Amino acid sequence: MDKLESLYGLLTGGKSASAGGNAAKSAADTFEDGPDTISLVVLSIGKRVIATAVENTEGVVDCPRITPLPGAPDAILGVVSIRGRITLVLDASLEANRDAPKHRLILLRGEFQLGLLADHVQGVVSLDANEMRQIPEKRSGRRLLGGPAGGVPEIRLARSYFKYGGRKVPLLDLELVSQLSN
Amino acid sequence: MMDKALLSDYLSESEQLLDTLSSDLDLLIERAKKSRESKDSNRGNDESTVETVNRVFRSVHSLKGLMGMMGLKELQALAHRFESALDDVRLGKLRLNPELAAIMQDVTESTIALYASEALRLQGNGERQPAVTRGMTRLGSLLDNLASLPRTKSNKGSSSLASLRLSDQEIGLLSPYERHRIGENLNAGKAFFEICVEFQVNAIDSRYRALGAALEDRGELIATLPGKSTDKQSIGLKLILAGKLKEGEIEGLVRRFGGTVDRIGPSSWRRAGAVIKGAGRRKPDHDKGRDAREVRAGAVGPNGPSAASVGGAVKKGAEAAAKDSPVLPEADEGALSEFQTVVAPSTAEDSIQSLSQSVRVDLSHIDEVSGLAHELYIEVERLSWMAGRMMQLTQVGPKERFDLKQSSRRIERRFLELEERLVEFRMVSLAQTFSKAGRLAERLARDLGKKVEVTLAGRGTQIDKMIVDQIGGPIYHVLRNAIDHGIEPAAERITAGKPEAGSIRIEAALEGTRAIISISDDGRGIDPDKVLQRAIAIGAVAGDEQWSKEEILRLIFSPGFSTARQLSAVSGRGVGLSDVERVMYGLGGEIRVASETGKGCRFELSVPTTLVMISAFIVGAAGWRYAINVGQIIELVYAGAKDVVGTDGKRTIKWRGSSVPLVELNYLLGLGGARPLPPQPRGRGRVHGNHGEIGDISGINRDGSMFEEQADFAHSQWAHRNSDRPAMRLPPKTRDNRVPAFITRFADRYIAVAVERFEDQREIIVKSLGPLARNIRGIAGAVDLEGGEVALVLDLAGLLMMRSIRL
Repeated sequence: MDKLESLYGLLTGGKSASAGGNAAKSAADTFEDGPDTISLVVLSIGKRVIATAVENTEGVVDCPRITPLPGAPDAILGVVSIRGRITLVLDASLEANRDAPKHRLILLRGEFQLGLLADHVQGVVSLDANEMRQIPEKRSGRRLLGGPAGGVPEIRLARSYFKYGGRKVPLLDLELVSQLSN
Repeated sequence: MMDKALLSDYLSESEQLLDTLSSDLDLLIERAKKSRESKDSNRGNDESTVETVNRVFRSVHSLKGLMGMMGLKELQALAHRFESALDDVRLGKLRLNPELAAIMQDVTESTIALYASEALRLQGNGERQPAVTRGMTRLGSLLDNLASLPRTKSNKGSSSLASLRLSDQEIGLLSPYERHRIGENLNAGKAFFEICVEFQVNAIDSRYRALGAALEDRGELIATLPGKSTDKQSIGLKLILAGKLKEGEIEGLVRRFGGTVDRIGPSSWRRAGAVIKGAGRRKPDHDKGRDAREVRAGAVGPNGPSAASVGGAVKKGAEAAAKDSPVLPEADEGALSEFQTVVAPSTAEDSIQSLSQSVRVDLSHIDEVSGLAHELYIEVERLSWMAGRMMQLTQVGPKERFDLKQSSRRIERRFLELEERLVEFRMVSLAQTFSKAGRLAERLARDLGKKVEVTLAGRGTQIDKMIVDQIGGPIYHVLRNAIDHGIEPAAERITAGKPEAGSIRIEAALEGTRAIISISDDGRGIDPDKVLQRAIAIGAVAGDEQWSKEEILRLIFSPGFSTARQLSAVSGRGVGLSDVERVMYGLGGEIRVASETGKGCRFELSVPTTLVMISAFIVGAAGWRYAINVGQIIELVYAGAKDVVGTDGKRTIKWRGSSVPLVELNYLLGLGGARPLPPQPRGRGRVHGNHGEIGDISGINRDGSMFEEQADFAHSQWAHRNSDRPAMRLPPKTRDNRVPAFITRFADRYIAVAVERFEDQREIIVKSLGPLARNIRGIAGAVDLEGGEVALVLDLAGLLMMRSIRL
């Protein structure tokens, strides 16, 4: 339990979760996840809400000043240094909410040295894997992850979604993220 | 798609094997040549050559295994054919000579190239390139050549085995290679001994290795056969040793291991020929019975016999047991099974393990630890400073102050040492690159019908692996030019009073923090008159200008020359010398040339020894800070109004009498608007007329007043790249409203890059941006600065190329 609460505190930056909707459960519920249950961090970026798997996250920190990275893919805002590690900052909202006050960074696990920018973390939810739905191919890009129509090539970062607080929340797919470098 | 971590492990292992293979082939070629020169046909049979052949064989065998694990079946089949040919060399069916070595060299080189292509394909999950398919066909042809070479009858030692006191069953257990080695040693007049020992099962591995190591310089350990054991917890072994020594010389040694020694031949009174012939028939499948056990066992290596040798003996024991032999070890099945698990796994992985003596660490992990060490160093510096401040504010005695200062200095020094050691982990030798260069030179000379002697020196010079990986191309290019165009045909050389064979020397040496790789030849050299004529012909220079010889020679690095076929001395294959220079520049290095017509030419490639810990100059632009390798900065200047020429946002500056394009760093980074600069007037600042777009410098002077000002052009002293990393000197800032800019060189000309401000020079650890930024050009990495800010480390050549700056 302690371990989970630490994780929860880390993810939410020690702030209380503002998890809304029926799908949201408490951290204690998450601790009792069964084999077909997945835990997701739900976060908001501007008007958008997206999620990423708890198992793919390392923690949440305040985002320092971002150094722009010339030539980077559109979704990469720049780089920061977190605990001495150079981290690329991923803005899943693309340019739609670039002016929104994003000040939290969800550090993602893996070799990609990646952090996901967010306005704030809503909470950790636990849900049955069967609740996940596939996003149709043509709708899996910026329409669900933000960004206005036209001008910017579509960047597909999610393949599935779930219902949360009455809205469809796309789940960040790290395999798709890894293709950003191509 | 194959697991990336697994693939990375395989590739890392392959690199080591290829490294060993290349070095060993070089050794064999050298020995084959010496053997021919000295007409000593037996030289190929000395123990060190035998062991080298074995290592080559084992390397190819292990590579074959790796190829199989990576799913490269076609390449694996070709490697198998190569392995078979090498087995014939081991068995004496193929005599080692320079011609055979040359074919082996070609086969190895083709295999390496194909393997590299296939590995890249696996990493990228792409399609196989047609060139790879063609390469496979070529490799198959080379192997056909190898297979068509006449074989001599293998010395299986059958006839000579009669002179050794071995039982029929023991003879039947000998592999073809062991028989061959017995025959060779008998021919060489060596004495044979059987060494009988008995080791406890739980200690057999270490005891056997220790015995092997002790016998290492006493002779050749040919075979390990099952011996007698007195209880079920022990295993008896019989080692067959050949050497020029007397029984008494090893008796004491063997006794320490609780064993006995007995001379078993050669002797005229032992064994009937019928027994031997019968033994030869008993296991007809032995000729094809080469297995991983034998491959690994070979001769005694530097670390003694491998555990696999013991495993082989146990296996032989097991085979013998099936035939109800009285000399069987009486170990029970369980113990035997356990033993085999521990010491004799018969998989390809084991054969890899037996060749590897180091722990492999991913470069990114080393970078990560280096980064952490650097972080700690910065924190320690900060703590020291804070401690100093605290002492000033409190009543602390002088002794305590002194102790604290000393202690903090010690810690700082240790951290610096730690950083340097971590950087050293990235260092690898140039051995493989040089070996390949040597082979390339010999092959090319052969193809062109020229005689060339290649000398390699300094192959042990160590530089950053990332640089080693990229320096090969430039070296091979220069080398091809030297052989193709520099070295004259034999008749021409003799007429010129030179030796018939041309001489090429490839040498590496360290100069401070830089490595200098020189390629010199005694060919015809580069004719500066022809170079100048060509430069005028292609419009690179004006005909009425005066040029020094050095300046003319530098013209060969301009793009127009790479395709100038009529000027053979400077034309090349594939990429031109301009691209070579660009690669060098990208590495923070440079290329220089010196030549004397008729006497030869010398190219000098200078590179930093590492790209991780570099001397960087920090500049500000567009509100951000950037780090630039000082090796890429020629000079720092403050440009005044009268030095800037051009209107409408199109600027050049006058610098050292030349007109140099001026571009804003903001533009290069895509952080500011840009308009193209006009073509440059002809002069020393340029060598040809192709210009791309160059960004405007409108951001340099935001109030526009700069260009009306009358001010002196201030510049610093030359701070050209050299070995001791000189501190960049800031130019005197005599007036306001001057634009700080640094002069850099890209391809064949200079360019001024304007920034907002100069900061300072410092030693930095360059951190990787990770795989997502792999395709981003112009950025070499990032560095943490004080206050948690990140500065991008710029790769100027990449930036200039990315922004279509053509020079």
